Amino acid sequence: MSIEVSKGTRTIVRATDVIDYLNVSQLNRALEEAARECPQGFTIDLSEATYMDSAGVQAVIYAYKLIVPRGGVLAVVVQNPNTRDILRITGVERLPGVHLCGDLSCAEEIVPECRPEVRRPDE
Amino acid sequence: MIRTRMRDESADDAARRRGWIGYVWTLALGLLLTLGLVALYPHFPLGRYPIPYVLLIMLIAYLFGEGPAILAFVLGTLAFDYFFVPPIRSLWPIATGPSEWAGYAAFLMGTSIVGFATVLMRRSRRQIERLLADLRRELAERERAEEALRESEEEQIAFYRRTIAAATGGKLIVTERAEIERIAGPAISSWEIRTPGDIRVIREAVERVASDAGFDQSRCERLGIALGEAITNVIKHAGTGEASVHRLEDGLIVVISDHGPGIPALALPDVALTRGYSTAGTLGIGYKVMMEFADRVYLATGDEGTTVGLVMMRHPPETSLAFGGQPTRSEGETTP
Repeated sequence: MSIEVSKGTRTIVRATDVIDYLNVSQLNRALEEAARECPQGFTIDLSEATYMDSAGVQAVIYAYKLIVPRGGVLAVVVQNPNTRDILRITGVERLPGVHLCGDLSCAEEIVPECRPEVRRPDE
Repeated sequence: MIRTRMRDESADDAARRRGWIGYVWTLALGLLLTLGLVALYPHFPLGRYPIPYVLLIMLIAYLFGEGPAILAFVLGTLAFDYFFVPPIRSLWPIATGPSEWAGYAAFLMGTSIVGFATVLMRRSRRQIERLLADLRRELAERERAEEALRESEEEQIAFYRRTIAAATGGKLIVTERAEIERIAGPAISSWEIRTPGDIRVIREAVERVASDAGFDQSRCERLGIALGEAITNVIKHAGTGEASVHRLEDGLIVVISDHGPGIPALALPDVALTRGYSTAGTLGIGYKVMMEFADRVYLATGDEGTTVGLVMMRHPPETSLAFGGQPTRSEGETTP
Protein backbone atom coordinates (compact mmCIF):
# COMPACT_ATOMS: atom_id res chain seq x y z
CA MET A 1 0.00 0.00 0.00
CA SER A 2 1.19 3.51 -0.70
CA ILE A 3 -0.28 6.44 1.21
CA GLU A 4 -0.09 10.05 0.27
CA VAL A 5 -1.55 13.07 2.06
CA SER A 6 -1.93 16.01 -0.33
CA LYS A 7 -2.46 19.34 1.39
CA GLY A 8 -3.88 21.92 -0.99
CA THR A 9 -7.06 23.91 -0.68
CA ARG A 10 -8.58 20.56 0.14
CA THR A 11 -6.82 17.73 1.94
CA ILE A 12 -6.83 14.33 0.28
CA VAL A 13 -5.59 11.07 1.80
CA ARG A 14 -4.87 8.69 -1.05
CA ALA A 15 -4.37 4.95 -0.34
CA THR A 16 -3.59 2.53 -3.15
CA ASP A 17 -3.23 -1.22 -3.67
CA VAL A 18 -4.03 -3.37 -0.60
CA ILE A 19 -5.54 -2.07 2.65
CA ASP A 20 -5.68 -4.76 5.30
CA TYR A 21 -4.89 -5.53 8.93
CA LEU A 22 -1.17 -5.58 8.14
CA ASN A 23 -0.89 -1.96 7.02
CA VAL A 24 -4.00 -0.20 8.29
CA SER A 25 -2.09 1.55 11.08
CA GLN A 26 -0.22 3.58 8.40
CA LEU A 27 -3.54 4.70 6.99
CA ASN A 28 -4.77 5.62 10.47
CA ARG A 29 -1.71 7.82 11.02
CA ALA A 30 -2.31 9.58 7.68
CA LEU A 31 -5.95 10.16 8.65
CA GLU A 32 -4.87 11.67 11.98
CA GLU A 33 -2.53 14.01 10.11
CA ALA A 34 -5.29 15.02 7.70
CA ALA A 35 -7.73 15.64 10.57
CA ARG A 36 -5.17 17.89 12.27
CA GLU A 37 -4.49 19.68 9.00
CA CYS A 38 -8.09 20.20 8.01
CA PRO A 39 -10.71 19.63 10.74
CA GLN A 40 -13.47 20.92 8.41
CA GLY A 41 -13.17 17.69 6.46
CA PHE A 42 -11.11 15.88 3.87
CA THR A 43 -11.28 13.24 1.18
CA ILE A 44 -10.20 9.65 1.50
CA ASP A 45 -9.35 8.55 -2.01
CA LEU A 46 -9.63 4.76 -2.31
CA SER A 47 -10.13 4.76 -6.06
CA GLU A 48 -6.84 2.97 -6.63
CA ALA A 49 -7.26 0.50 -3.76
CA THR A 50 -7.47 -2.96 -5.29
CA TYR A 51 -8.29 -4.73 -2.04
CA MET A 52 -9.86 -3.49 1.17
CA ASP A 53 -11.38 -5.50 4.00
CA SER A 54 -12.94 -4.54 7.32
CA ALA A 55 -9.59 -3.14 8.49
CA GLY A 56 -10.13 -0.37 5.92
CA VAL A 57 -13.69 0.07 7.17
CA GLN A 58 -12.33 0.55 10.69
CA ALA A 59 -9.98 3.22 9.32
CA VAL A 60 -12.86 5.10 7.69
CA ILE A 61 -14.82 4.87 10.94
CA TYR A 62 -11.76 6.18 12.77
CA ALA A 63 -11.64 9.20 10.42
CA TYR A 64 -15.38 9.71 10.97
CA LYS A 65 -14.82 9.84 14.74
CA LEU A 66 -12.00 12.34 14.32
CA ILE A 67 -13.91 14.71 12.03
CA VAL A 68 -17.68 14.48 12.14
CA PRO A 69 -18.34 15.11 15.88
CA ARG A 70 -16.46 18.44 15.40
CA GLY A 71 -18.70 19.43 12.52
CA GLY A 72 -16.51 18.22 9.67
CA VAL A 73 -17.43 16.13 6.65
CA LEU A 74 -15.74 13.21 5.01
CA ALA A 75 -15.81 12.16 1.35
CA VAL A 76 -14.72 8.65 0.43
CA VAL A 77 -13.90 8.08 -3.23
CA VAL A 78 -14.51 4.47 -4.17
CA GLN A 79 -14.48 2.79 -7.55
CA ASN A 80 -13.93 -0.88 -6.74
CA PRO A 81 -17.40 -2.47 -6.43
CA ASN A 82 -16.21 -4.82 -3.68
CA THR A 83 -14.90 -1.92 -1.60
CA ARG A 84 -18.17 -0.09 -2.12
CA ASP A 85 -20.04 -3.23 -1.03
CA ILE A 86 -18.03 -3.44 2.18
CA LEU A 87 -18.77 0.19 3.04
CA ARG A 88 -22.43 -0.41 2.27
CA ILE A 89 -22.94 -3.59 4.30
CA THR A 90 -21.08 -2.27 7.30
CA GLY A 91 -23.34 0.80 7.29
CA VAL A 92 -20.54 3.33 6.73
CA GLU A 93 -22.35 4.91 3.80
CA ARG A 94 -25.24 5.73 6.14
CA LEU A 95 -23.11 7.51 8.73
CA PRO A 96 -24.00 11.22 8.95
CA GLY A 97 -21.26 13.43 7.53
CA VAL A 98 -19.79 10.61 5.41
CA HIS A 99 -20.33 10.69 1.64
CA LEU A 100 -19.36 8.01 -0.86
CA CYS A 101 -18.25 9.38 -4.23
CA GLY A 102 -17.32 7.78 -7.51
CA ASP A 103 -14.67 10.38 -8.37
CA LEU A 104 -12.73 13.32 -6.95
CA SER A 105 -14.94 15.98 -8.53
CA CYS A 106 -17.88 14.70 -6.46
CA ALA A 107 -15.69 14.86 -3.36
CA GLU A 108 -14.67 18.45 -4.14
CA GLU A 109 -18.32 19.50 -4.09
CA ILE A 110 -18.81 17.97 -0.64
CA VAL A 111 -15.63 18.74 1.25
CA PRO A 112 -15.15 22.43 2.14
CA GLU A 113 -11.89 24.26 1.56
CA CYS A 114 -9.36 23.88 4.26
CA ARG A 115 -8.74 26.80 6.62
CA PRO A 116 -6.85 26.94 9.90
CA GLU A 117 -8.98 26.66 13.07
CA VAL A 118 -9.65 30.08 14.67
CA ARG A 119 -8.57 30.00 18.29
CA ARG A 120 -10.75 31.86 20.76
CA PRO A 121 -8.97 34.25 23.17
CA ASP A 122 -9.76 32.13 26.24
CA GLU A 123 -8.22 29.00 24.71
CA MET B 1 -37.45 -28.73 51.63
CA ILE B 2 -40.39 -30.60 53.21
CA ARG B 3 -38.89 -33.87 52.15
CA THR B 4 -35.56 -32.95 53.76
CA ARG B 5 -37.26 -31.99 57.04
CA MET B 6 -39.22 -35.26 57.10
CA ARG B 7 -36.01 -37.16 56.48
CA ASP B 8 -34.34 -35.30 59.35
CA GLU B 9 -37.24 -36.04 61.71
CA SER B 10 -37.28 -39.74 60.91
CA ALA B 11 -33.50 -39.81 61.39
CA ASP B 12 -33.97 -38.23 64.84
CA ASP B 13 -36.63 -40.84 65.76
CA ALA B 14 -34.31 -43.61 64.67
CA ALA B 15 -31.49 -42.10 66.75
CA ARG B 16 -33.78 -41.97 69.82
CA ARG B 17 -34.77 -45.63 69.34
CA ARG B 18 -31.14 -46.60 69.02
CA GLY B 19 -30.50 -44.68 72.27
CA TRP B 20 -32.98 -46.79 74.31
CA ILE B 21 -31.64 -49.95 72.82
CA GLY B 22 -28.18 -48.83 73.94
CA TYR B 23 -29.29 -48.53 77.57
CA VAL B 24 -30.93 -51.95 77.45
CA TRP B 25 -27.81 -53.49 75.94
CA THR B 26 -25.68 -51.76 78.59
CA LEU B 27 -27.74 -53.24 81.41
CA ALA B 28 -27.72 -56.68 79.81
CA LEU B 29 -23.99 -56.73 79.01
CA GLY B 30 -23.06 -55.22 82.40
CA LEU B 31 -25.09 -57.87 84.19
CA LEU B 32 -23.68 -60.66 82.05
CA LEU B 33 -20.09 -59.52 82.55
CA THR B 34 -20.53 -59.12 86.31
CA LEU B 35 -22.16 -62.54 86.66
CA GLY B 36 -19.40 -64.10 84.58
CA LEU B 37 -16.66 -62.44 86.64
CA VAL B 38 -18.36 -63.39 89.92
CA ALA B 39 -18.67 -67.00 88.73
CA LEU B 40 -15.02 -67.08 87.69
CA TYR B 41 -13.74 -65.22 90.76
CA PRO B 42 -13.03 -68.23 93.03
CA HIS B 43 -10.97 -69.93 90.27
CA PHE B 44 -9.71 -67.00 88.22
CA PRO B 45 -9.87 -63.57 89.95
CA LEU B 46 -10.09 -61.51 86.74
CA GLY B 47 -12.65 -59.25 88.43
CA ARG B 48 -9.95 -57.71 90.56
CA TYR B 49 -8.58 -55.93 87.51
CA PRO B 50 -10.30 -53.06 85.71
CA ILE B 51 -9.69 -54.48 82.20
CA PRO B 52 -13.06 -56.29 81.65
CA TYR B 53 -15.07 -53.20 82.63
CA VAL B 54 -12.76 -50.92 80.61
CA LEU B 55 -13.40 -53.07 77.56
CA LEU B 56 -17.15 -53.13 78.25
CA ILE B 57 -17.30 -49.33 78.62
CA MET B 58 -15.24 -48.91 75.49
CA LEU B 59 -17.57 -51.21 73.56
CA ILE B 60 -20.71 -49.47 74.87
CA ALA B 61 -19.28 -46.00 74.24
CA TYR B 62 -18.30 -46.92 70.69
CA LEU B 63 -21.60 -48.57 69.83
CA PHE B 64 -24.15 -46.42 71.67
CA GLY B 65 -22.53 -43.13 72.66
CA GLU B 66 -22.06 -41.17 75.85
CA GLY B 67 -25.38 -41.87 77.66
CA PRO B 68 -25.07 -45.67 77.74
CA ALA B 69 -21.32 -45.24 78.37
CA ILE B 70 -22.03 -43.21 81.54
CA LEU B 71 -24.53 -45.87 82.67
CA ALA B 72 -21.93 -48.58 82.01
CA PHE B 73 -19.36 -46.57 83.97
CA VAL B 74 -21.70 -46.17 86.98
CA LEU B 75 -22.79 -49.82 86.93
CA GLY B 76 -19.22 -51.00 86.47
CA THR B 77 -17.96 -48.81 89.33
CA LEU B 78 -20.65 -50.11 91.69
CA ALA B 79 -20.21 -53.73 90.62
CA PHE B 80 -16.41 -53.54 90.86
CA ASP B 81 -16.65 -52.04 94.36
CA TYR B 82 -19.35 -54.43 95.51
CA PHE B 83 -18.00 -57.70 94.18
CA PHE B 84 -14.26 -57.35 93.74
CA VAL B 85 -12.78 -54.64 96.01
CA PRO B 86 -12.39 -55.77 99.62
CA PRO B 87 -14.54 -55.62 101.67
CA ILE B 88 -16.33 -57.94 99.23
CA ARG B 89 -20.12 -57.63 98.86
CA SER B 90 -20.11 -54.24 100.41
CA LEU B 91 -20.32 -50.76 98.86
CA TRP B 92 -18.96 -49.00 101.93
CA PRO B 93 -16.23 -48.61 102.85
CA ILE B 94 -15.01 -48.69 99.29
CA ALA B 95 -11.58 -50.15 100.09
CA THR B 96 -9.74 -51.28 103.16
CA GLY B 97 -6.07 -50.94 102.41
CA PRO B 98 -3.76 -48.85 100.20
CA SER B 99 -3.44 -51.54 97.49
CA GLU B 100 -7.26 -51.82 97.26
CA TRP B 101 -7.56 -48.04 97.04
CA ALA B 102 -4.90 -48.04 94.34
CA GLY B 103 -6.80 -50.73 92.42
CA TYR B 104 -10.03 -48.79 92.74
CA ALA B 105 -8.35 -45.56 91.63
CA ALA B 106 -6.83 -47.38 88.64
CA PHE B 107 -10.30 -48.69 87.80
CA LEU B 108 -11.82 -45.18 87.90
CA MET B 109 -9.02 -43.67 85.86
CA GLY B 110 -8.91 -46.47 83.29
CA THR B 111 -12.64 -46.66 82.71
CA SER B 112 -13.21 -42.89 82.63
CA ILE B 113 -10.26 -42.12 80.32
CA VAL B 114 -11.03 -44.95 77.91
CA GLY B 115 -14.77 -44.20 77.96
CA PHE B 116 -14.19 -40.48 77.35
CA ALA B 117 -11.70 -41.12 74.54
CA THR B 118 -14.02 -43.61 72.87
CA VAL B 119 -16.95 -41.18 73.05
CA LEU B 120 -14.78 -38.50 71.47
CA MET B 121 -13.66 -40.90 68.78
CA ARG B 122 -17.26 -41.89 68.08
CA ARG B 123 -18.31 -38.25 67.86
CA SER B 124 -15.47 -37.50 65.47
CA ARG B 125 -16.41 -40.46 63.33
CA ARG B 126 -20.04 -39.37 63.22
CA GLN B 127 -19.02 -35.82 62.38
CA ILE B 128 -16.86 -37.09 59.55
CA GLU B 129 -19.73 -39.29 58.33
CA ARG B 130 -22.09 -36.32 58.44
CA LEU B 131 -19.58 -34.14 56.58
CA LEU B 132 -19.09 -36.84 53.97
CA ALA B 133 -22.85 -37.22 53.56
CA ASP B 134 -23.23 -33.45 53.20
CA LEU B 135 -20.40 -33.40 50.72
CA ARG B 136 -21.93 -36.23 48.69
CA ARG B 137 -25.32 -34.47 48.74
CA GLU B 138 -23.71 -31.19 47.69
CA LEU B 139 -21.79 -32.89 44.89
CA ALA B 140 -24.94 -34.59 43.64
CA GLU B 141 -26.82 -31.29 43.72
CA ARG B 142 -23.98 -29.56 41.91
CA GLU B 143 -23.89 -32.27 39.27
CA ARG B 144 -27.65 -31.91 38.80
CA ALA B 145 -27.28 -28.12 38.51
CA GLU B 146 -24.41 -28.43 36.03
CA GLU B 147 -26.39 -30.92 33.98
CA ALA B 148 -29.38 -28.55 33.94
CA LEU B 149 -27.11 -25.67 32.94
CA ARG B 150 -25.54 -27.75 30.18
CA GLU B 151 -28.95 -28.72 28.86
CA SER B 152 -30.08 -25.12 29.03
CA GLU B 153 -26.97 -23.94 27.16
CA GLU B 154 -27.41 -26.63 24.54
CA GLU B 155 -31.03 -25.58 24.05
CA GLN B 156 -29.94 -21.97 23.87
CA ILE B 157 -27.27 -22.75 21.27
CA ALA B 158 -29.73 -24.83 19.23
CA PHE B 159 -32.15 -21.92 19.37
CA TYR B 160 -29.42 -19.52 18.26
CA ARG B 161 -28.46 -21.81 15.41
CA ARG B 162 -32.01 -21.99 14.10
CA THR B 163 -32.57 -18.25 14.59
CA ILE B 164 -29.27 -17.27 12.98
CA ALA B 165 -29.79 -19.58 10.00
CA ALA B 166 -33.30 -18.17 9.52
CA ALA B 167 -32.28 -14.53 10.03
CA THR B 168 -29.39 -14.76 7.56
CA GLY B 169 -31.38 -16.62 4.96
CA GLY B 170 -29.21 -19.68 5.44
CA LYS B 171 -25.95 -17.78 4.83
CA LEU B 172 -24.52 -18.35 8.30
CA ILE B 173 -24.75 -21.87 9.66
CA VAL B 174 -23.59 -22.40 13.23
CA THR B 175 -22.52 -26.00 13.51
CA GLU B 176 -19.81 -28.36 14.83
CA ARG B 177 -16.21 -28.48 13.65
CA ALA B 178 -16.58 -32.14 12.67
CA GLU B 179 -19.51 -31.23 10.41
CA ILE B 180 -17.42 -28.60 8.59
CA GLU B 181 -14.61 -31.12 8.17
CA ARG B 182 -17.09 -33.68 6.86
CA ILE B 183 -18.45 -31.21 4.29
CA ALA B 184 -14.94 -30.10 3.29
CA GLY B 185 -13.37 -33.52 2.81
CA PRO B 186 -9.74 -33.78 1.69
CA ALA B 187 -7.74 -30.57 1.26
CA ILE B 188 -6.26 -29.36 -2.03
CA SER B 189 -3.77 -27.15 -0.17
CA SER B 190 -3.24 -26.03 3.41
CA TRP B 191 -1.29 -23.33 5.20
CA GLU B 192 -0.31 -22.38 8.70
CA ILE B 193 -1.31 -18.93 9.94
CA ARG B 194 1.46 -17.43 12.03
CA THR B 195 1.97 -13.75 11.19
CA PRO B 196 -0.12 -10.89 9.76
CA GLY B 197 1.92 -11.28 6.56
CA ASP B 198 0.25 -14.67 6.04
CA ILE B 199 -3.09 -12.94 5.44
CA ARG B 200 -2.01 -11.77 2.01
CA VAL B 201 0.01 -14.88 1.11
CA ILE B 202 -2.87 -17.28 1.83
CA ARG B 203 -5.49 -14.99 0.31
CA GLU B 204 -3.61 -14.68 -2.97
CA ALA B 205 -2.89 -18.44 -3.05
CA VAL B 206 -6.59 -19.26 -2.59
CA GLU B 207 -7.55 -16.70 -5.24
CA ARG B 208 -5.20 -18.53 -7.64
CA VAL B 209 -6.83 -21.88 -6.76
CA ALA B 210 -10.25 -20.33 -7.41
CA SER B 211 -9.10 -18.84 -10.71
CA ASP B 212 -7.69 -22.22 -11.81
CA ALA B 213 -11.02 -23.79 -10.84
CA GLY B 214 -12.83 -21.52 -13.30
CA PHE B 215 -14.07 -18.73 -10.99
CA ASP B 216 -14.32 -15.32 -12.65
CA GLN B 217 -12.14 -12.51 -11.30
CA SER B 218 -14.88 -10.86 -9.29
CA ARG B 219 -15.74 -14.08 -7.45
CA CYS B 220 -12.05 -14.78 -6.84
CA GLU B 221 -11.70 -11.35 -5.25
CA ARG B 222 -14.86 -11.75 -3.19
CA LEU B 223 -13.62 -15.09 -1.86
CA GLY B 224 -10.27 -13.42 -1.10
CA ILE B 225 -11.97 -10.66 0.89
CA ALA B 226 -14.03 -13.12 2.94
CA LEU B 227 -10.91 -15.21 3.55
CA GLY B 228 -8.92 -12.11 4.57
CA GLU B 229 -11.53 -11.41 7.24
CA ALA B 230 -11.40 -14.95 8.58
CA ILE B 231 -7.59 -15.01 8.76
CA THR B 232 -7.51 -11.54 10.33
CA ASN B 233 -9.82 -12.86 13.06
CA VAL B 234 -7.39 -15.74 13.70
CA ILE B 235 -4.45 -13.32 14.00
CA LYS B 236 -6.39 -10.93 16.24
CA HIS B 237 -8.09 -13.39 18.57
CA ALA B 238 -5.98 -16.55 18.58
CA GLY B 239 -2.56 -15.55 17.25
CA THR B 240 -2.08 -18.65 15.12
CA GLY B 241 -4.17 -21.15 13.20
CA GLU B 242 -4.54 -23.11 9.98
CA ALA B 243 -6.26 -22.62 6.65
CA SER B 244 -7.03 -25.13 3.91
CA VAL B 245 -8.92 -25.11 0.65
CA HIS B 246 -11.16 -28.01 -0.47
CA ARG B 247 -13.03 -28.74 -3.66
CA LEU B 248 -16.83 -29.02 -3.71
CA GLU B 249 -18.98 -30.28 -6.56
CA ASP B 250 -19.21 -26.86 -8.22
CA GLY B 251 -17.17 -24.66 -5.95
CA LEU B 252 -14.69 -24.43 -3.13
CA ILE B 253 -14.75 -24.35 0.63
CA VAL B 254 -11.94 -22.69 2.56
CA VAL B 255 -11.63 -23.85 6.17
CA ILE B 256 -9.93 -21.55 8.67
CA SER B 257 -9.45 -22.74 12.22
CA ASP B 258 -7.73 -21.68 15.41
CA HIS B 259 -7.43 -22.74 19.03
CA GLY B 260 -8.34 -19.38 20.52
CA PRO B 261 -10.97 -18.65 23.16
CA GLY B 262 -13.89 -18.95 20.73
CA ILE B 263 -16.97 -16.75 20.49
CA PRO B 264 -19.22 -16.80 23.58
CA ALA B 265 -22.66 -18.27 22.84
CA LEU B 266 -24.33 -15.05 23.92
CA ALA B 267 -22.34 -13.05 21.35
CA LEU B 268 -23.41 -15.21 18.39
CA PRO B 269 -26.59 -13.26 17.61
CA ASP B 270 -24.52 -10.06 17.64
CA VAL B 271 -22.24 -11.59 15.02
CA ALA B 272 -25.08 -12.48 12.73
CA LEU B 273 -27.88 -10.10 13.39
CA THR B 274 -26.45 -6.66 14.24
CA ARG B 275 -26.81 -4.39 11.25
CA GLY B 276 -23.94 -2.16 10.20
CA TYR B 277 -21.34 -0.48 12.32
CA SER B 278 -21.82 -0.79 16.07
CA THR B 279 -19.99 1.26 18.67
CA ALA B 280 -20.55 -1.61 21.12
CA GLY B 281 -17.89 -3.68 19.42
CA THR B 282 -16.43 -4.77 16.13
CA LEU B 283 -17.04 -8.48 16.49
CA GLY B 284 -19.74 -8.47 13.84
CA ILE B 285 -18.08 -6.49 11.06
CA GLY B 286 -15.75 -9.24 9.87
CA TYR B 287 -18.51 -11.85 9.92
CA LYS B 288 -20.88 -9.55 8.08
CA VAL B 289 -18.28 -9.11 5.34
CA MET B 290 -17.76 -12.89 5.20
CA MET B 291 -21.51 -13.47 4.93
CA GLU B 292 -21.84 -10.87 2.21
CA PHE B 293 -18.89 -12.01 0.12
CA ALA B 294 -19.02 -15.80 0.51
CA ASP B 295 -22.02 -17.80 -0.61
CA ARG B 296 -22.29 -19.51 2.75
CA VAL B 297 -20.38 -19.37 6.04
CA TYR B 298 -20.14 -22.30 8.45
CA LEU B 299 -19.11 -21.40 11.99
CA ALA B 300 -18.11 -23.77 14.79
CA THR B 301 -16.94 -22.15 17.98
CA GLY B 302 -16.31 -23.25 21.53
CA ASP B 303 -13.66 -23.64 24.21
CA GLU B 304 -11.37 -25.51 21.80
CA GLY B 305 -11.33 -22.66 19.29
CA THR B 306 -13.15 -21.49 16.21
CA THR B 307 -13.50 -23.03 12.77
CA VAL B 308 -14.95 -21.12 9.84
CA GLY B 309 -15.89 -22.69 6.50
CA LEU B 310 -16.29 -20.26 3.60
CA VAL B 311 -18.22 -21.74 0.70
CA MET B 312 -17.91 -20.15 -2.73
CA MET B 313 -19.63 -21.67 -5.74
CA ARG B 314 -18.24 -21.18 -9.24
CA HIS B 315 -21.33 -19.20 -10.22
CA PRO B 316 -23.37 -17.07 -7.84
CA PRO B 317 -26.41 -18.89 -6.46
CA GLU B 318 -29.67 -17.24 -7.56
CA THR B 319 -30.62 -16.75 -3.93
CA SER B 320 -28.84 -17.47 -0.72
CA LEU B 321 -31.01 -20.58 -0.38
CA ALA B 322 -30.25 -21.78 -3.89
CA PHE B 323 -28.34 -24.63 -2.30
CA GLY B 324 -30.61 -25.04 0.66
CA GLY B 325 -29.07 -28.41 1.41
CA GLN B 326 -25.42 -28.82 2.13
CA PRO B 327 -22.93 -28.41 -0.70
CA THR B 328 -21.46 -31.69 -1.85
CA ARG B 329 -17.95 -32.72 -2.75
CA SER B 330 -17.11 -33.58 -6.31
CA GLU B 331 -17.27 -37.26 -7.24
CA GLY B 332 -14.13 -39.37 -7.34
CA GLU B 333 -12.08 -36.88 -5.39
CA THR B 334 -8.96 -38.15 -3.72
CA THR B 335 -6.56 -36.80 -1.19
CA PRO B 336 -3.80 -34.89 -2.99
